[in-house]
Amino acid sequence: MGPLVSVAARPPASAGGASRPSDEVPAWLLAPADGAGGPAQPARPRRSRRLFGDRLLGTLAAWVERAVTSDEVARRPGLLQRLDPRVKLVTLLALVVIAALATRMTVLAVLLALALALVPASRIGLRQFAARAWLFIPLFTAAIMLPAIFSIVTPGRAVLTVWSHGAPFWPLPSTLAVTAPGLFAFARLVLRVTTVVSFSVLLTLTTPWSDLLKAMRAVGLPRGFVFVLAVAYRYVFTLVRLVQDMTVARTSRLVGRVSSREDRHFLGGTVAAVFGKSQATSEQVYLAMISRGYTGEAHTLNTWRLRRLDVVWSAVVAVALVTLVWFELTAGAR
Amino acid sequence: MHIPDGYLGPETIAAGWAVTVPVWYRANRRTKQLLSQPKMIPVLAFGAAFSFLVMMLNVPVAGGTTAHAVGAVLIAVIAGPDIACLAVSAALVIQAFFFGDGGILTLGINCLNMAIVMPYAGYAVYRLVAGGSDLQSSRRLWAAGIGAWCGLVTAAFLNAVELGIQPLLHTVNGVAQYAPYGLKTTIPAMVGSHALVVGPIEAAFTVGVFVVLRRQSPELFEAGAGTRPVRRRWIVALLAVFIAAVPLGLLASGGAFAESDSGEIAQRIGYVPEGLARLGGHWSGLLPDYSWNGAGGVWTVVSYIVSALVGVAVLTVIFWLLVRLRRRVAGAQVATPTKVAAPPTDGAL
Repeated sequence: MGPLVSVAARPPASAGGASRPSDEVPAWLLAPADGAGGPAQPARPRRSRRLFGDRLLGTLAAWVERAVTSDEVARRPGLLQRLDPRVKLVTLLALVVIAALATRMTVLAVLLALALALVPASRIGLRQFAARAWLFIPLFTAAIMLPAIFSIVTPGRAVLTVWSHGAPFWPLPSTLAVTAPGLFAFARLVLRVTTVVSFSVLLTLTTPWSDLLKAMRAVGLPRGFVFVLAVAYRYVFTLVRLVQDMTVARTSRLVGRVSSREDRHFLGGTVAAVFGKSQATSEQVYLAMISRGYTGEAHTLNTWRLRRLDVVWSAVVAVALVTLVWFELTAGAR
Repeated sequence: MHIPDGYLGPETIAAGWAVTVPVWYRANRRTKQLLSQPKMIPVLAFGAAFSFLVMMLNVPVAGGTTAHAVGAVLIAVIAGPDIACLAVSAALVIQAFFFGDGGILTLGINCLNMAIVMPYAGYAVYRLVAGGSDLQSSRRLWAAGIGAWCGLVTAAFLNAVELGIQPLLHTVNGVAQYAPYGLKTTIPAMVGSHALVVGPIEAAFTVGVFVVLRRQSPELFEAGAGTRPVRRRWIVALLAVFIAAVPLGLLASGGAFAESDSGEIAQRIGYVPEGLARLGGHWSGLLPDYSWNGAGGVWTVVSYIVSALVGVAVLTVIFWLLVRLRRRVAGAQVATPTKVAAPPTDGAL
C-alpha cells in the first residue's frame, strides 16, 4: 500500500517542507476563466450560457482543489492534527454517533459549541470551515425542512397564523399557521445535522487520506476493503485528469453553439473511454503489483505511538460524552 | 439521494447496516469466485474510482441545467451486479469520509439504496428485458435504459420509505424527533421527481455509455455475462418483501393519490363531483377497499397481505396468458417449427 498512498497524500504543488504559502494553490489558478478578476473580457453575446465543457472542467477543478486544500489543512500544526489518527477516528466517530442520536437541544448545542471550539484550535479558518461544512448540507436541510414548521405538517399550538378562513378551498387548508412544535422540530433537525456535519468535516479536514485509511485498518476494517479504498482514491485523480484532457481537447476545438444532445453524446463517449481505460489500467496495475512482489497481502509502515496528548484528549471526550448521555437520558421533560 | 446523518433514528440506521453488511459479504465471496483473488483488488478499485467519477459528472439536460447520475446499473450491466455493489459502496465510503457527502452513520442505508437495491434491481430488469437478445440489438439498449430507470426509481422509493417512517417511529408529544415528513409526502416527492426527471437522465446516461462501449469493446461484457443470472427464488423473495411491506400503506394515514373515495374528496374539495357519486356506488372492486368488511386491527394487515397475494396471482396469470398467446402467434407466423435456440441463461431470467 505504501507507495500508492504516499503519492496520493502528497499535493501536486508540494516542494517538501511544512506549511508554506507555496503549498497552497494560487488564487489565479482557481479563478474561473470568465471571472471579474481576470483581464478584460470581450462583450459576451446575449443568452450565452457557459459551455458544458467549461462547467465540467469547473466541477473537476473544484474537486481537485478540495482534495489539495484538505491535504494542506491536514499538515498544519493544530490540535486535531497532532492527535494519533486512530484516537481521532474513534473519538470523532463517537461524537458523531452521540450527535446523530441526541434529541435534546442542550446536548446538541453543547456538541456544536465543542465542534466550533475545535475549528480555531486546529488552525482552520472559520470561513474555510463554514464553506466546507455548512454551505451545502445544513442549508439544504433548512430549505427542505422549512414546510415542516407549518401546521399542515406539524399540527400544534399556533405561534403565527398565516391565514384562516372558514370554508376549505381545496387544495389549500382552511388555516395555515406556524406552530410551536413545528419550529422546535425544525430547529432541532437543523441543529443536529449541522453538528454532525461539523464533526465529520473536522475529521476529514485534519486527517490525510492515507492516515485515515491506516486508522480504519487499525480499528478493524478488513484489509482488502481498505486497500481497495486506497487504490481507488489514488486513481480517481488519474481518471479526473483523463476527463479533463478530453474535455479541454474538445472544448478548445468548438466554435458556435452546441446542443445538449451533442453534449450528452460527448459525455457518453468520454465515460465509455474512461471505463475502457480504467479496465486496461487495472490490468497493468495488477501486473505491476505482481512484478513488485505482491502476494495478496498489503503491508503498511506503522510507526504510530500514543502520546500524552492522545490520552488527555480521549479522557476529555469520554467524560464529556458520558455526561451528555447521562443528561440526555435522565434530565426532565424535553 | 444521499441521506445525511441526523435525519434517521437509531432503528433505521441499525437496520441499514444489518442488511448491508451480509450483502457485502455475499457479493465479496461471489466476486472472489469470479476473479482470481489478488486480481480483484485493482478491478474493484478501478470500479470504485469510475463510480466516484460518474457521480461527479453532471449530465447536460435541455435548457442548460444538469443533474448527476449514479451509474450503478451501468456498472452492473457491464461487470455484473456483485462488482457494481462493491464498487459503488467503496465510492460512497470515499464520499462520506472524504467529503462528508452523505452521512457516516447513514452509510449503511445509503449503500443499501444506491449500492445494493439499485444495481441488483436494475440488473434484474435489464436481464428480464434483454432476454436472449444479441448484444448489438436495439432491445439491449431498451433493456439498459429501462433497467437504469427501474433501478433508480426503486432506490428512490426505498429512500422515501426510510425517510417517511421516521415521524411514525419517533414522534414525542407531537414533535418529530428526526425527519418530519410522512410517507404521504416523501413517496410522491421522491418517486415523482426520480421517475420524471432524474430517472430519464440516468437512463439516457446509461444508454449513451452502453452504445459506445458495446461498439468499441464488446469483450468487456463477457465479465457481466459470466456472473450467475438472477434466479427465480430471488424474484420470489423480492416479491415477498414487497407484499410484506404493503401494510405500510395503512400507516400512511391518508389515501393514495387517485384512490380517494368520495367521502374524502368531499372533505378536500367541499363537494362530490356528480359523476363520481353516481359511479362510486357501482364500482367497489372485487376486494372492496382491499379489505373485507368489518375487518380491523391485525385482520386489516392480514387482509392487505392477502389482497396483495391475490393481486400478484392475478397479474402472474395475466402475464402468463399473454406470453402463451404471443408464443402461439409467433409460432403461427414462423412456418418452420424449429425451436429458437435457448438463451445461455436457461432456467433464469
